[in-house]
Amino acid sequence: MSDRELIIGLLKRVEQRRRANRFLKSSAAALTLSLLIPVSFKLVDLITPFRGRTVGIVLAVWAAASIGFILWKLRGRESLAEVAARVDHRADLHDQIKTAYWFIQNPSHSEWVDAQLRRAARNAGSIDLDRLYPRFIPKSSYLAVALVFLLGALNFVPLPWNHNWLYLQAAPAFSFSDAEKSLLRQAEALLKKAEALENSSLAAKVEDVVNKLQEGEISMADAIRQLDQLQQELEEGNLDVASINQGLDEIADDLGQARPLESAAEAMARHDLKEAADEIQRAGQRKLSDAEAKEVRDKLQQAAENGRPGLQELSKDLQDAADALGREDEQSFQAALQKTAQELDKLSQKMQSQQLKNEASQRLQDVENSLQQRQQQQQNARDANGQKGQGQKKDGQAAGQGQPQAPGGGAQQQGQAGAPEEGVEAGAPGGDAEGGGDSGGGQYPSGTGGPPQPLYGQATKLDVQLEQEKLLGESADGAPKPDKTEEASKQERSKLDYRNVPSDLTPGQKELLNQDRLPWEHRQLIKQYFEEIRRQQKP
Amino acid sequence: MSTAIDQQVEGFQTLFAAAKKEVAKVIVGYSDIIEGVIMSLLADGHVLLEGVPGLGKTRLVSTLADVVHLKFSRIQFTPDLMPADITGTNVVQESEHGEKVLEFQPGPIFANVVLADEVNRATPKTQSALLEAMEEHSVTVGKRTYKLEAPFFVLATQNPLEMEGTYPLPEAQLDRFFMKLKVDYPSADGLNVILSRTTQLETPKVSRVLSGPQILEMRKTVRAVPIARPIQEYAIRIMMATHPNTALAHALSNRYARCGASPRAAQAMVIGGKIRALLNNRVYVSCDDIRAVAPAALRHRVLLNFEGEAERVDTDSIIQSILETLPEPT
Repeated sequence: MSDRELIIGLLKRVEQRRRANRFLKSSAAALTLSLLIPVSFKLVDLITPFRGRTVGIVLAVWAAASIGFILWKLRGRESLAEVAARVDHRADLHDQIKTAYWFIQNPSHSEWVDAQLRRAARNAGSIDLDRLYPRFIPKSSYLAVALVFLLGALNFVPLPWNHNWLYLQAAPAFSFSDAEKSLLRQAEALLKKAEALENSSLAAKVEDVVNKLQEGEISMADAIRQLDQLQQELEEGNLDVASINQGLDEIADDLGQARPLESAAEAMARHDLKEAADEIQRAGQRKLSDAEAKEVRDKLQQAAENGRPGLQELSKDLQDAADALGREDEQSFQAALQKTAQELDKLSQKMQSQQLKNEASQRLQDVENSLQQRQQQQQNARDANGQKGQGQKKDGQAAGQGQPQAPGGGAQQQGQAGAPEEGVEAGAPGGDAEGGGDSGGGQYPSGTGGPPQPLYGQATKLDVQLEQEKLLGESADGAPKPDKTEEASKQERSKLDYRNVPSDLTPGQKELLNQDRLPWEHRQLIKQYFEEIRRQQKP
Repeated sequence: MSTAIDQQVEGFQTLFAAAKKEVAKVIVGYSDIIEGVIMSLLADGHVLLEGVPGLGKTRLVSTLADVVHLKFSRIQFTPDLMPADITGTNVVQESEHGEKVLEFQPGPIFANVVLADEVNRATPKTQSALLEAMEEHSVTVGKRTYKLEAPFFVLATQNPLEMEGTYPLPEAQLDRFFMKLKVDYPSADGLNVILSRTTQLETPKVSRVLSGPQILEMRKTVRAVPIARPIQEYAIRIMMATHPNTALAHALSNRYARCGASPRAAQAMVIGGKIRALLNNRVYVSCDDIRAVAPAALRHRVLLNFEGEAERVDTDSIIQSILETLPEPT
């Protein structure tokens, strides 16, 4: 190896070593600095949980910025002349390598230059690269590792509102309470069962509403409205079960008077329509005597006269069977009974589906009520905070956007502790929960704010707390006389929402009750009528 | 394996060390001054020694003259000294045939080593008599030019304290000095040795270790040392930094300098650097070499402006600041 190759080889090795060390140092330093961002972000997340989208965006931007920063730090490569100068400085060679490199780059035929290169090559050969530029682990890398562990550990902090990013978890926009979750699960299960009987997509719609609410795509008020619509859909085309049952009882009474149809009538009376259908089919296969045929025809005829809503098809089939029997058309008779049995099956399925839907509707109603209660409580808390914050508004005008409040802080939902979204977003002038004004709000932990919420009054309770108050009375002689009486200290409303009280009314009855029976144009007339009557009664 | 270059370098170092050692027998301390004087001799330059009286400046020069085995002459500069007293003059002589002829009588400048003692005491006109001799190694008298014998080496001394009856050296002459060396008071230890040597019967004897041809050979060796372009540019940048109101000017130069160093300064730094490299057993010039010789090569070439004079700014401080702030080339 020539002197020139030896010197160039040394410079290249030094350049590579310096680059590697610089990469390690820059990377560790950059990583340490940049890791402060996700750690701080996670610490804030422990106080104010962020949604998955926010976490994803922040971490993606952070990762891209970190990589970019490291690459930026690593840009460029040292020239060999620079490396030569550094080697001279490091090895105390008094510009020997630098000068030699320059003579290599600018060759001249001189004994002195050759002597210089020879001496430089001799020194270059004796340089121990590992001693000159040892490989090292930068101290900042220990800090970076510690920050990584800290970031990991923060994900496992056992707080109910902590979400483990390592498992791709983050705060939903809205979280249901356990009771609400249970009700929703039940409702969905019931709807799926009902869908197995009838082709519909109500369960999917419920799931869609739940998902949208959790993702923050809709507000709580929207969710309540959509659940209400779903209930209306469930109630649309509902059968009047009571009427049908009564009709079936009447048909069973009629059919039971004919001996061949006794078994079917008994099953029908038990409202076991499948059994009734089987029995009717069996009855159709039996050979009837003339007397039995007449008896059966009469009872079928009698039963067919029952025209209650929902039983028209069954009545028609019974009528067909009676007619066929009257014509002594056995084949038509059997076909009519077969059709009757099918109609009973169909009716049975409808009623079963109806029952499941009713139950699901009830669960949805419960969820809806629960959400309304939460909404109202949040509004009340906001109002209360607004009242408290009146005095602080002067100081807190600067605070603009609502900041999501710490879970468990501020006005938290009763019985739903631990749900990070339940904290009322104060958005308060002054920035804290108690300085709550009328800004902020919504169910959005990231503080984006939701659509305008309906306003409700203050929370009231049914169990009125009474307290005695002195009332100034007046005695007969005109002197004031203290009197003791009891009165409600404050008007309060029931905590129990009346809509939660289970109703025994059938949908038909509910509809009837909700009907406006008095036409507007006649109301004035009716009012005058009653006023006239009262006027006549007074004397 | 020892090469011719190595032997040459070794021979240079040996002769230099021998000369220095001989001078040091008489001159106590002042190692840098002795080295600077010999360096100037080997660089084919001249030296201006500045120091208060009694520090051994003249003694140093006379000792050096003894060591180098060259013709030595001493000129005591006084206000009434005339140029012809230095260069010599044509005098009327009677030939063997009785004819009157003009014959040139060489002055004391016609020597190898010339000591111009207290050079600033002579008038500028007389001082200027040295210009041609120092730069062109020749003397013109009348219509004839007389070559000075090589090696030709002028050592001038001046007293920085006495202003009365002195004439500051003109810039053109200052620039012709390769180095300006400042002679300070010796240390207490040095004084002890001085007293021991000068107050006893025995006076130290010096040997002649350097001859004229050896000096000329050493000068060739010095000039053969290669210098890389970045190092040369470093010397140029240092020189340029002394130029006020230029792109490369240093802040202190802008403030206190009236005029910066001439290209002779860069030449002095490079040649001085080469000698220093040889003395350090190197066959190339480093930035350290340039930095080491820069103050001596620059201090008399940077001229202060009114503000600098008024604030009694030392040119050495400007040069030092330049050397500290100017980055080394890569």
